[in-house]
Amino acid sequence: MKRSSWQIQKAVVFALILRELKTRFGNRLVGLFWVLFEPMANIATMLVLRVIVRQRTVGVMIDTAVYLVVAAIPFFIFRNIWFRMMSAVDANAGLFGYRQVKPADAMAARTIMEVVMYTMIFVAFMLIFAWLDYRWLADKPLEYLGVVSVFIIWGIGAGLMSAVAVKKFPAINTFLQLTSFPLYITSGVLIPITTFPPLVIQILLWNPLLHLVELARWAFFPTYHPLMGVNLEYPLVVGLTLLFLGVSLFFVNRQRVLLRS
Amino acid sequence: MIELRNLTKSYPTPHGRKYVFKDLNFTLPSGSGVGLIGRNGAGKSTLLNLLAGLDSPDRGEVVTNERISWPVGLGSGFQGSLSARDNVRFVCRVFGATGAEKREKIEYVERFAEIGNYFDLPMRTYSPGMRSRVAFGMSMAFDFDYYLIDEVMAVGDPIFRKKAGAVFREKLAGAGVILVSHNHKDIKDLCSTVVFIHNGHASVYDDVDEGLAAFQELLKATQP
Repeated sequence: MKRSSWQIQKAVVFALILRELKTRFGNRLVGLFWVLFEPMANIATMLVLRVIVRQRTVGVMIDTAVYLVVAAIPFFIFRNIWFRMMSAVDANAGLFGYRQVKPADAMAARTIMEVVMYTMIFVAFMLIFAWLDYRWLADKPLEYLGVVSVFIIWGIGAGLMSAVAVKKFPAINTFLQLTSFPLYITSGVLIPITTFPPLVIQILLWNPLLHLVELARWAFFPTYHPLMGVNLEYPLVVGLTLLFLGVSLFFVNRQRVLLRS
Repeated sequence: MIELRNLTKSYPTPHGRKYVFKDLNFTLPSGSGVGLIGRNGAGKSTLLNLLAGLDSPDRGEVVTNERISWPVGLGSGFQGSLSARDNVRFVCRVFGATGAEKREKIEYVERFAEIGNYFDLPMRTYSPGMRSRVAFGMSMAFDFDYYLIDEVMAVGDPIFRKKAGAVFREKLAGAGVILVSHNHKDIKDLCSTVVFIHNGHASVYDDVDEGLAAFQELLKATQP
């Protein structure tokens, strides 16, 4: 019986996901704990800081915890897809000895895993918020999902490009990991950008991810006013360009990424 | 039948592009034993990788309808933190063996490897011999039209080697083998065709002795 290409790819991606789940979490709950713990710790820290400065709410009807979570989770999805795709080829190097398994499958498996995992974390947070009587449903759910998908497009585009770049210049790896934190800060996930002087805001608005973060909050809260100048076109166009460049670069180098560096 | 059409493969190196072979054309008959011979670096393993679909040619193609195995005894795909059972499961899923078929294959490997409880322990705790037992068992659990072998034939202790040899021979009754080896005895035993690779060209000999003789001649000619 011959399987179609689609059947093979489906089987391979599924097998890779199960394998990765087993490897990461195994029989130990510790693995699962860390995955859930990282975003929670992040948000808890910020909450504590805010309570200290007596600023429990950010705007009208906006609780700080929700304010952080609805932007932080899409941002983490983006960042994790990016970095996990970047390392996907090396982490699965041995598996490409089976002809059915291709680098793109490893990347697809990791992307799907990150999206599913963070969706679960998101749902967990929303349940907690519902319990605490905070706002837990997005005001504009479709718009919110749309913004999250642009984050995912960014993750895949950046991931594909970095996977090729890192093969060619391994030193980039550390550099990219280091950019992650400044990007996190300047995207306004933790600190509201509105408190900055206008000139700084003008400069920060060059960062397309800041637009996405603002849009995520705008979609979630009916009372949130995004920064002046925030729009969807800018991050969307840059994101699609990244994706296009990423796919082309990866396609051209699909054989070269397998070579040992 | 495996047909190679205008197969060209090169690698970029700091000294410029290095061609392993250019416009290779030949056909391998179904269910036969094929030995690939040539000096080190002649491109035997590259050709094997192209046949295994692990690498793609610059130009040309490998046309075939046959199921070709991964290199027999390939152990690089094992995840050290997973048990042999989980690793075999992964390969079953990749090959589309599900349900009863999967259980049957896992059982086969478990019985073949004979490593007892270790089968359910993380593979990083295995000795090299145990790893290769599992790896070899896995190759034998799946049916292929062609088995690819790169040099390594003898694994494990003598008892295991004997058993592995017997099972392999049984498999070869209904399948072909493509073998890269410097051991002429193996080639004489298993192959009916020899492909001699030299300087980017391949000559196919339907008479094994003739092929080996051509190789010997080359070795003699290059010796001081």
